[in-house]
Amino acid sequence: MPREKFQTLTQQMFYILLCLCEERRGMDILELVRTMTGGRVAIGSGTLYDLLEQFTTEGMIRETKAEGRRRSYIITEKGRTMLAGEYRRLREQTADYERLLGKEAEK
Amino acid sequence: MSNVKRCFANFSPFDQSTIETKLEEMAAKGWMIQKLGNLFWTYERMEPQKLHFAVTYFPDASEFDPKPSEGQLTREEFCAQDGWHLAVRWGAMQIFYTSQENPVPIDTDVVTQVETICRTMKKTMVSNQLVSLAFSIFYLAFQLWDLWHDPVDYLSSSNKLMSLPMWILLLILEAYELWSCLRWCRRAKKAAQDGVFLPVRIRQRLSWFVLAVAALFLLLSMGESAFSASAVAFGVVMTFIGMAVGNGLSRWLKEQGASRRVNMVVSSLGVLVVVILCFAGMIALMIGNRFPFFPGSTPVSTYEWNGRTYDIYDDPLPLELEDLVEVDAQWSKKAELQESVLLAYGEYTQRPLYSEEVDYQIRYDITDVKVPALYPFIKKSLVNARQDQVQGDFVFVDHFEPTDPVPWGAQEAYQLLGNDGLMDTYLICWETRIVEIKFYWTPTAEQIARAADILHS
Repeated sequence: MPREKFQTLTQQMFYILLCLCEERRGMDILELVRTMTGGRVAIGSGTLYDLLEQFTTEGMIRETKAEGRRRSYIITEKGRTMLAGEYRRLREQTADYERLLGKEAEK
Repeated sequence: MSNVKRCFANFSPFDQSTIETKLEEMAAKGWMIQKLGNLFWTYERMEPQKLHFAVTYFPDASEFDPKPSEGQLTREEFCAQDGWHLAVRWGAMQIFYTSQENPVPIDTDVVTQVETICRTMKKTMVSNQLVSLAFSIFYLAFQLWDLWHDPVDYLSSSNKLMSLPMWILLLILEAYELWSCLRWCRRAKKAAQDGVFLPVRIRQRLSWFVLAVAALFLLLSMGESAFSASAVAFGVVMTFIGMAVGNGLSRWLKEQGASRRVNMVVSSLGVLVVVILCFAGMIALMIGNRFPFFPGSTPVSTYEWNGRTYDIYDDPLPLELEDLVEVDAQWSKKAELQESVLLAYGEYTQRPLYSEEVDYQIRYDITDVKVPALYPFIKKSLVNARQDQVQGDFVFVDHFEPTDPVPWGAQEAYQLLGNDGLMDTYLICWETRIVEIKFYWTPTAEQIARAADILHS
């Protein structure tokens, strides 16, 4: 059964919301995510635009400034809640892993 | 040496990987994509380069937009910042290229990518397919109604008979493409939840094959007569003129900066005007008798009677009044024939000119059934073609009653019953031939035997 929209966040959704905990221009997010993750996560430019549009529509971020086509955004309370929810989910996954395989993983 | 090359676009606009591979191959050979179209894509010459291409979609864009929306331009700027240069736009589809060795794809989130493609499909392909499907269903239903209502006329007309499988094939093709899109969306959304992108695989070759077979049926339907060829040629020419006017008008309106809605409405009206003008032109040609738009025989001369002009025909008839009665008069003999692989059908009339003082006249239809399996169906439809009509308390009696087939040397025979009793109209059924004949006098047994002998031979 398909999951409900944004009930869980994909890796790219997660990092975009994370970047927007501070007000930023949309275009800056591409480079910031690559730097933040050491190149492990790369967001496609089309995906970034599409997700910013969807997040705005869903009220997870809001537009703060528009200079021509250069727009800045910041996360909303709803976005923060969803980001926190995803963080909890990831922590629970990590905790489950450590409980079962933690010692083995440390070897 | 030409610097421009046009290639047949044998792929679905949603088959991203096939398009990207094709464009990369063309770039390596020194051809850069320049313009997209429904059937042909145009390339222009450049230095051979190793380029990567990406096909993406912007669902809100339309071919009728005067210019890209701010949102679309913003998205393109995002792509440009990441090293992707716009090669070409075509409605909701954009193609980008980059010379980077290992570029980050434009679409990296499968869920978002699938959603975007599905939205684009629904706005473009699915809505178009639904309109075409509705049109095909309407036309097919009309054809089936025609077949049921007058099977002899339908099955003896190559034009109608061959257009039936053509419309069935088009209906199947449209339903298949629609089903493919909707199935892909359903499956792709499910796969995307697991992080897997399901490529769009629409069997374009199958579509072209089905279209080719449908076109073959269209050609076969033209073969019957000048009328069929004229009718089909008229339809084809009208379609091309309509498309050319619609596209030209849309392009001009875009250049003038007209809004999407204005463009769509005016272009559609332009096509409608073309259709109306074409039909008006056809009617004018028909009135002037300049083209054989209507099937049938041609008059050999005319005559005046009571201030009106009447045509005189002199077609050969299998049975003539002179075979039955000794009478000397000027006649008009008319035969209208049509034939298919299933049936041959002819309508024959012989009547005196109005200026003649003669009571004799005959009218008969001959139906030859070439496929024995069809015989019961055809016979039943001819017998049932006459039905009593009830209007209030009054019944207009008009049906065939079985009668003795022996005088006709036939397997079955029927005689028409009206309010005044049995009439001089008969339906005679031989092995493969069914004849309905109306005598305008009461024929003698000898005349019936003579008519049966000639009509059965």
